Amino acid sequence: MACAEAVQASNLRLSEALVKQIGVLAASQAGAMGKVATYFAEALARRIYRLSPPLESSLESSFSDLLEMHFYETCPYLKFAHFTANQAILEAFEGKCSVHVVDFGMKQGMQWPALMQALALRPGGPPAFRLTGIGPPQPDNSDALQQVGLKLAQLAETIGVKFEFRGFVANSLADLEPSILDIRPEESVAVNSVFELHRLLSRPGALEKVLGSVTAMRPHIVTLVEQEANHNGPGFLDRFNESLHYYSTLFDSLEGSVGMNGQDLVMSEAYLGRQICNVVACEGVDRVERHETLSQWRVRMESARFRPVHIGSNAFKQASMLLSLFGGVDGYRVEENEGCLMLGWHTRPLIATSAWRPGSESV
Amino acid sequence: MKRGVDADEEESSGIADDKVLKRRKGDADADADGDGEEVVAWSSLGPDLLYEVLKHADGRTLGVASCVNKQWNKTAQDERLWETICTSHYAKSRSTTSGMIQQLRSVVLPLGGFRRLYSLHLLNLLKPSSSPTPSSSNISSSLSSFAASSSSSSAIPRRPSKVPIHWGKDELHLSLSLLSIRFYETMCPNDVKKL
Repeated sequence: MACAEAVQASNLRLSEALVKQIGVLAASQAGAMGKVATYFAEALARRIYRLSPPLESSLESSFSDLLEMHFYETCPYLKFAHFTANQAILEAFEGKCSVHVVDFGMKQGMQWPALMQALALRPGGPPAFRLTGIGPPQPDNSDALQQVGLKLAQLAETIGVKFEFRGFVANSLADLEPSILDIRPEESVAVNSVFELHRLLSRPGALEKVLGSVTAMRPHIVTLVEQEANHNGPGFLDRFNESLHYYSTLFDSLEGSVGMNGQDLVMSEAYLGRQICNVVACEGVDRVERHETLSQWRVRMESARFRPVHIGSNAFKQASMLLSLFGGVDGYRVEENEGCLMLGWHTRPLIATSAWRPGSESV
Repeated sequence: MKRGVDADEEESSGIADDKVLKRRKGDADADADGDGEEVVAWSSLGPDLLYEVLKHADGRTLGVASCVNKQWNKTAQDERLWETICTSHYAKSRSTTSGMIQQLRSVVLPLGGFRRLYSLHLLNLLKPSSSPTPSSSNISSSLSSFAASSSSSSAIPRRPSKVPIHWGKDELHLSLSLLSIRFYETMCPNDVKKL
């Protein structure tokens, strides 16, 4: 923290000296604290030496996906996000015969098999299911989105769900126009954003544009999952301290996860480490990990004329049951917060799922 | 028929009689003369009759039964038996129709089947939260190996059976989600690779 203060004060020589010390201290510290310190030290060093971090370039996206897969398997955060969002979408789609989900961060499509399965088992049979997935451009021009789409199509055929997929490549969600998504009049739309919207905050006006596009899609529901932390304050020191506490808690929860093998742990930590690096070392448009709290997102959504939709008790039950599978039963906590669900470690909430509907939409 | 009557008597008492069954099998080696006729009856129980008996066993018993010998293993792996186990709460609900069960079947079977649903997913949700994870995962992995391979002669972990054996639709739904995710993860991506 002293180093961060020095950085904030632009005291380069002091911060340089301190950062070297941290490296040594961190290496000698066992457990989660040591690892967190190491990642933060590296991020500080990058900031001090103005090294451009190897992050968020499309060259890294397949490696990112790999890290995320390990993180997905070994701790409940992503599964919690998917399951709670899916439950909200499922309830919003009740009784509809033609549904369309727009996924702002398609990646490997891990959220959708469970939703398709739930739709397949709906009383009366599944609706026609359309999925539009948005993803970043790939360096080797391979069509990763299309491959994911094909895999999901195969699953859909296996379980008897009528399925259509379209993938859109975009550097930023703000580049998309709602008209190209080809929303059909008879279909009910859900927009799903898991850890994606905060990136838009790095460019002024981008979030407002995207929320405007979302409204134009006339969705029945918008599911939003974000980190429960304020890593977007104007002052570097505050951001540093906030993120130090947040990621320390996250790393603690990883240590507490029973049954995680060494490699999974390292990969999951590396996944988080990249976020840490971005929060601490980057600025301006490069700093995309601009996390904000649920209260902040509530303000943003409401000023874009969205009304909250309460996430029901089914989602709460599913989430609680899910956590029981992840060992650290004493550590993980699901909390309900005015219709939103939060997952935390001990007393600290770490991610929040909320659901919204455009205000002008008639029920 | 005497054998049939014996089987019916066994059926009506569920788990307790399965324990008796196991004890008899154990006794068979020790005391070939004493329980002579009953031991012969059990080990030469035809697959159809065995199936009828196993219809009334719970999941854990079924898993254990599949370790007895090759024939028992084959019969105990019958999907219909595991379907009954997974849908026991459905059967109790008056609003369940055969259409709903058929719908469930049409989703679960292609995704891996009821045996996998039970052994890989549902079982993990049934362990009490107070039990230490390693022993539970041993049990679930033992049972899943029972389900997945034939005639495993590995030791059956004995533990006090205080695990709740009843579950509701919430556990089933979560297990179904996990089953579908697992299926998706293990789908071969080679079919979809371009060029």
